[in-house]
Amino acid sequence: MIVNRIPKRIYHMKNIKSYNYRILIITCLAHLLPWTESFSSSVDTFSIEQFGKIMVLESGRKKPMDTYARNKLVQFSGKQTVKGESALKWMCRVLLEPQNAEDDLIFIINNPEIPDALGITPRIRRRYNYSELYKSISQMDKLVADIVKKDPGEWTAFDKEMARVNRNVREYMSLRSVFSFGEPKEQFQITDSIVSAMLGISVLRPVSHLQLLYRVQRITRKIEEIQTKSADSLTASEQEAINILRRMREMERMIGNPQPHIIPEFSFEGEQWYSLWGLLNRYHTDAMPHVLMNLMLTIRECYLRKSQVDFDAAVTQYREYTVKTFESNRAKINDPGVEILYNRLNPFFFSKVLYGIAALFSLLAISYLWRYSYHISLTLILAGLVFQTIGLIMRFVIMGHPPVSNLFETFVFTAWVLVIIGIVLEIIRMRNIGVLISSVTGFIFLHIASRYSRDGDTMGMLIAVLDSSFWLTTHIVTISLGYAGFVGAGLVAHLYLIQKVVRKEENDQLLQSIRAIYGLFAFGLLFTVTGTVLGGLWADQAWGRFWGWDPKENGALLIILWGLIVFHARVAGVIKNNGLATGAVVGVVMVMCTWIGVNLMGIGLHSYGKASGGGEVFVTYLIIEFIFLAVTWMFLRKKNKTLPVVHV
Amino acid sequence: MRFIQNCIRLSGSIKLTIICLIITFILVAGGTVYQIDNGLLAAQDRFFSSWGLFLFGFILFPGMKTIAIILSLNLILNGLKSFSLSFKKSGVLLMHIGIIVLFAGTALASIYIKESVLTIYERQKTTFSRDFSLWELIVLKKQHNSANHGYFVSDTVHFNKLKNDTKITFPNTSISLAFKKLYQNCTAPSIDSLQPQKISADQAGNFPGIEAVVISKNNIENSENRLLLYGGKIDPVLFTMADDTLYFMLKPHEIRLPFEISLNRFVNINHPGTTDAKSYESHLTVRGDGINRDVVITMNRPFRYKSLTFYQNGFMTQNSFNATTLFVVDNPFRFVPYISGLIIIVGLFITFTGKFAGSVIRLKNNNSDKK
Repeated sequence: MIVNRIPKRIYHMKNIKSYNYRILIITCLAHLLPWTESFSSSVDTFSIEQFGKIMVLESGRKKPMDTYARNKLVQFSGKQTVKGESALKWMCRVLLEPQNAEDDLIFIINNPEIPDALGITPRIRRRYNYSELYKSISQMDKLVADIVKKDPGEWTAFDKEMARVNRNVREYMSLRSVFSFGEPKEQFQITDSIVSAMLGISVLRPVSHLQLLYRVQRITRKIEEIQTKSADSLTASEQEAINILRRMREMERMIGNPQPHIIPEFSFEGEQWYSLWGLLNRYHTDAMPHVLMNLMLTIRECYLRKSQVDFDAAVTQYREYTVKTFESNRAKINDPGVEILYNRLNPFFFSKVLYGIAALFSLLAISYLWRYSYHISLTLILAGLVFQTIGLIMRFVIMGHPPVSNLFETFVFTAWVLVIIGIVLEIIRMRNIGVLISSVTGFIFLHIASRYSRDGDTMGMLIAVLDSSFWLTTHIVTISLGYAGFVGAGLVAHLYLIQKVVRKEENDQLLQSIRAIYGLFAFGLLFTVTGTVLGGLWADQAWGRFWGWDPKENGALLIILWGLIVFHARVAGVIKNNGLATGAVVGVVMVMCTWIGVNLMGIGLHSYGKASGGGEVFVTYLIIEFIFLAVTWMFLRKKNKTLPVVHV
Repeated sequence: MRFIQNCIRLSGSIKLTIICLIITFILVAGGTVYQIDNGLLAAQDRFFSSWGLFLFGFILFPGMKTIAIILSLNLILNGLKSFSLSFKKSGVLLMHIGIIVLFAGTALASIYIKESVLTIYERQKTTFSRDFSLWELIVLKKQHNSANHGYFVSDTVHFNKLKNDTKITFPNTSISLAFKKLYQNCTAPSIDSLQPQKISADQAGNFPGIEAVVISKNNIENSENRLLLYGGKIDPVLFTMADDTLYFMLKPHEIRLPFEISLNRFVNINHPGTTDAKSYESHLTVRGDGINRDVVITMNRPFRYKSLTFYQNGFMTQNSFNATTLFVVDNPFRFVPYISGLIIIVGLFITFTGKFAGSVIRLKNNNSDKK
């Protein structure tokens, strides 16, 4: 349909052979593709690609190491690369040779008071390395100890940031100590020659936890022999044996089962995942030479030796063993291929960039400054849409349910709907409004979505109440369509009001705009009502009541009521075109209040939509909208312009 | 006559619809903000289920019930005034009918709906559920019958009917109670004190309390005869006065179910490595009233029987035994929101698709005129 329409548009714009421009842009995009990681060939001689396919359990979801590495790096530094190096390579260094990762500037500190409080020299780019933060760890612990005594509701911006930085440093420490059981430690050094001879370990030399673990049965046998003895009658060597075992158990207790959880096991308790330390702590003895543990040690050794063939073979064996474990227990583990491709393609980032450029061209198009800008804009939007559609499909395949289960996904989905609405509008109206809606909303919404991905994984597991593909698809998709309608109407309304102020005379384009506002507003109302009714039916199925006055439900009701007020006022002649446009702008505010504002209230049953932070940005947005409407109306009243009411 | 005509015209006017919608908007927005500090139940009482309220303490403002009635009348009169059997107007008519049906259904449901909670342990059975919004003060007497040494309920009073600083006489006993303090929700930090708590939105989260003085038949009020009752206490409170030995108890109203329910097992599956629930499952057996079968209740899959619906609400574990909590709703008008919702959506669809089609046709005509 779109393809059929494009030539007509070209026909109208005589003398413009925009085919050439499209071909040119598509060629440029094709050249852009190699920039995505998926098609890049590594210049390094040692490839860690296979390592990215190892499955990790995090927050209830089994994900490839590649995703885990990206999420952790985004969580720590807000970026997916370090010094141009991929997150996976960085993770490899942190896990397998941590001493070579200590100077990476990966800890972002957004509050300038924190470096001062920790006694660190502030950096302009706000990113710090582990070495310098580790030096201040005791000061950090002291500050955090004071913070946690307070009620979280009373935490200042400093407190929140300090707690976040501390959490990140602690997580990093657990990552870098994955293989620390193999590192010799002073605390395990043996001072007694009898014990030394019994264990076959030299005296006064640091010993690793693993070395002791392989000899733990000898120590326990010794302790069993002296069980009946009183504490006073113990010899020095007997006391040494007891101390060693106590220190081992203390360390195991302290470390527990830290991330990353890479070893699956099935027992009567069901599916359990362990880190290497977690596995040691589960078995406590040398009777535990687990295949995956040994393979992981081999992987590390091959990585340090940079032996590509052995490294790949060990990783492949590791993965095959994991798959077999699941198969033998009739459980399912996804192939990481699709997710790794999704990560490397980074479709929403590319869509955002393309929509951003398209928005600039669409502004040129709407101002008639450059005649080819329309075609360039439309082509970029279509390219962005392809990327975004691929991204949504891939997420659907990975997660097994429609990609609308959290705020990140609803923003991405609504952006996608808005882009399609814009294109449909372009087909119907052919007045540049569609490209503007598509590009601007596509860019803004994908940008907002990217803010919600800063905390790490955007593919969370569904909570029990949301675990219904039917209701998730019908209710959230419909509501998102409704939101998209209101946002589209609001965007055109902004443009309409600006044009109304700037232009001296009314023209055809203003009439087209008002029709678009009316149509999109109606579309928004229709789907918001449908979505809200479906939400009520879902609530009736899940919670036993159709309506519970939950803030999110009330938010949807407020949008509907606002829509009804505007339509009835328009029908009654209480408001005219300017009023309708203003109503549409307020409609966007209503949508944002429900979508984001309600989540900031921190109450209600829709806990899966809750988000903390971003309150300042939201309030700023509300103030900007208020100023916009106040200024526009001030000018409009001055000009006292009126257009005849268009019956749409 | 003209006055009546004017009144009818005004009552069916679209401007009244707009005013009603604006007031509803204010009520919903106000109630939502009010919830943050005062909780859902307080917001419901003040904004969503009230006839009227005072804004800022002195501005009389209509409540949701008043607005629903005015809006229904407005829609009916407007519909009658502009009624015509045309496809163009059928969408608006359907929307208005849908809204009236929704209001009527909500009003009827609010009268007839019964909500209660049922908590049952594995391998146990029950034939009743508890309505935690309706607490009762019961007086028990010991049975002197040699064959049965149990208790029987002598008197029952609904907690909602009790008021501070009032007296109530139990007809089947020789005593009266003078109520000093009543708590909608409280805790009992010690055996002789009650501490008021904020009213919870969760029906089963409120435990009322009573501070009263027992008055003998001689009408002598002695502060030593102080009686402290707490809803969270399972055992009745013993009180002896002269020859009378009585037991007092605060307990939620019990609703008898048409069948017996037994919990075979409760399964709580978490996402691996987390405490986030993937699913809850109550495996039950239902016997009686012509039904005898196993039933599984999960989130999003309730068990329905006639006007009764059982929803998975929560669970707990005590002494390694699991217990499930089911939310029981008896609503004969359960289908009203489904029907009215469908009517409204169809009405909206007809209205807007009609307008959309008209707009596209007009645009095409304009374009062909220009050519």
